[in-house]
Amino acid sequence: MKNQSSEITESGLALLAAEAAAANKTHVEAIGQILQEASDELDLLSAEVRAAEENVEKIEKETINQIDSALLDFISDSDLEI
Amino acid sequence: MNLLEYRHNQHSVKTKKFMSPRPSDYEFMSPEMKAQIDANNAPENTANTTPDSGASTPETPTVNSVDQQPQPSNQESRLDHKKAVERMFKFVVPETESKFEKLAGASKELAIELFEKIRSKISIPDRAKIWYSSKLAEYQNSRLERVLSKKNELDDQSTTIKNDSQRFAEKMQNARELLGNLSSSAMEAEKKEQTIFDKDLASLAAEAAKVERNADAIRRKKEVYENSRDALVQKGVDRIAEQIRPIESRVQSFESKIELVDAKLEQFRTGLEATKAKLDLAESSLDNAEFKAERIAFKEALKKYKAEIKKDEKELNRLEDQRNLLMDKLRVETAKRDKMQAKSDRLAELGKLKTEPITTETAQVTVSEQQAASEPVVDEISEPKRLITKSDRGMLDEPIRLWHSGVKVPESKASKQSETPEKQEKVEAQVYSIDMLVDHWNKSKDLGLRLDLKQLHKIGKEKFPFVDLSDPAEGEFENIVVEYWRSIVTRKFKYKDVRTYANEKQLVNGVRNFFKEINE
Repeated sequence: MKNQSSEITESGLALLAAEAAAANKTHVEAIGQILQEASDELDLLSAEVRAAEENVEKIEKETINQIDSALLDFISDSDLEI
Repeated sequence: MNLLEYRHNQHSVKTKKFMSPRPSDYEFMSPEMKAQIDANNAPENTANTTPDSGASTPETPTVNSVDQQPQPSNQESRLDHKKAVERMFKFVVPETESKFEKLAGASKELAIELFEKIRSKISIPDRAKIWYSSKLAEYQNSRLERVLSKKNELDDQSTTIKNDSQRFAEKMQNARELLGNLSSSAMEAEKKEQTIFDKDLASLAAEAAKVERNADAIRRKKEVYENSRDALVQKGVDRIAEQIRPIESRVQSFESKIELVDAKLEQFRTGLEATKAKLDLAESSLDNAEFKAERIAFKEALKKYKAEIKKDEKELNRLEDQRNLLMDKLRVETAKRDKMQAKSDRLAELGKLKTEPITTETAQVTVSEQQAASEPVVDEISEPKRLITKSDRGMLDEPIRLWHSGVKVPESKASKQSETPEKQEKVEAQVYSIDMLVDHWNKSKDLGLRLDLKQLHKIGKEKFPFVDLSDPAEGEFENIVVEYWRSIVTRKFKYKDVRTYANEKQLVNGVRNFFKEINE
């Protein structure tokens, strides 16, 4: 009985180790690939954020300029007959 | 020439024009008359009335004392003025500066008064004070009042002439009844006089029509300005949103990949745990081995497999670190996105402001009151019932009320019905947190946690350096400062729940750290 048990354990152990090694390798490869994709996505995101920051600064300046301009038109009386 | 010198010169010009016609007269003069008056006020002409010429009179000592100063040439003066203006504030593009330069008289004075405090700062909140300033409405109202008062004068004159004309007609009728037919010379004189009355009336009517057109133009201008200002603010909000949108979708795409990574990591981890468990089981079964050699063989095999598992665990940790590094980088990027979003929010907040008509009742209406009156509650937290008012100045013992007093859960049935229980819970937790925080802050006199009015002003000064908090007319903008501060607190505190603090000491430390973080 003891012998039978150890034989089963020995062959099962080898199979278990082989299966685990294969599965882990698959996991590592799959995760590595998704992480690489995520990293690429993040690079694109950084570039987009940088561009957006520049654009937002430009938008802010343009908005300021347009409203300043509207304000100066408002207080100017050059278009009135007085 | 610095600002003081500029103002001094402006004052001198005003003093010099003391004997000139009143501005209201000037406004309605013909171009020729204006040119004549301008020529009389020009430095070249006043130079002729210096004591040397012997033309000065005792009535105009100020004029002479000013005119005795060396006068810069027109070009120098213009350059000096330009430099002074540039030092005072900075327009974004030359076109706007050119518009400013073209302003004349009271308009330019007003522009300088409005812009000078912001100097070279270019940001939306810096500008808000100007765009929504009640001084603008006040200025336009006074201009309208001047025009309408001129219209009244013209109407009065017209009524007087009509009365005279009527009296003239009655007298002539009376003369006809008494004398029978009028002589031809009398009839000719009557005709001439009647023509004068008619011409005067026609001339007054034409002038009144012109004044009325001006009044309409002034009224329209206010509407056009407010509409274009609000539209530009909204356009700014929309344009910033356009910039943020692709970032959002990119973040989502990234996050979905990270979710996938997390799922795979979890599978990997579970698999490793299962293998480890099986190896442990196998190790415990070694006791059942019959022979020593057999035990040794198993032990060696197990050692080898466990070493491989350890290697895989290291690999798992490496992948997790890689994942966390990416998440850190994502946080940096999303913080930048949040900063842009905050700009958009601030702009949107300004778009809700309205220039109030200048009356004693509405002069102190707060931003939140304006919003409450014009639109339903849309935020998770309703706006304060009352922000700072002039009567609050100096109430250093009740600092929190400045920005807190109205924080409450929205009570409208419609908004409650539309909220999910989770959202309500979140709102309640948030409100509870802020209430607790504020309550604690108020009670913690000796803990150095309190933000009194002086500190608030200090923060306001740092964030909005152009705000003159001692000026009563700044009350409206002071509310913006308070609102800004409150929005930071609300945003930063959004996901904190002070109920998680286990005891009083933790709460105090939590609150202290929270405000330290904000102040940084």
